[in-house]
Amino acid sequence: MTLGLVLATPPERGDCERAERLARAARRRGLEVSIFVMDRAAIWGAGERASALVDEGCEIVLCGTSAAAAGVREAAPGVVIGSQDDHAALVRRADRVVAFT
Amino acid sequence: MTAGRRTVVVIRTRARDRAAEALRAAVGLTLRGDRVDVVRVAPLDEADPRVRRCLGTLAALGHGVDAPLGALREADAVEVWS
Repeated sequence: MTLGLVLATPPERGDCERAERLARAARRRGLEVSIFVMDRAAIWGAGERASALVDEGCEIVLCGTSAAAAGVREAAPGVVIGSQDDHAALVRRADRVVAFT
Repeated sequence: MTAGRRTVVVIRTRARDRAAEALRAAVGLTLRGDRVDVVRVAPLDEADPRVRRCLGTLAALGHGVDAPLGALREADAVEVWS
């Protein structure tokens, strides 16, 4: 079973931490976790907290347009720079989607 | 290939940049063949070229640009942009 997360709010709103907790809980239960990061969450996608989730088996894609708009030159290690097509792919294949938008 | 799913994008922000991003996401969500419906809980500034372009693209592709709240009942996935 795959849990899809869409993360698009700025870190100060607290949703990044909520998404991290949810992702870890899902991974502990053996679920696959895919996260699409865009808009004001792009800065999170460039950070070590995103890398930590990749190390724990999550797939994380960062919208390239959002990354550029946020001045993010490089995604965090393990985070893939993608596009809205990845957003569509995630929503399509996930069994459940939680959107922090 | 699985049958197309239905995604609803609810826009409940009056912030122009957030609304534009929500609509950009809505257009993106159409890329894999799914049906997308935009529900406007907050008004959209159709004078904003970003809004106009996204709504035009969605409409041209046959997606819903001003769907009723009832669209949520049929949705496989929902994104609420606030």
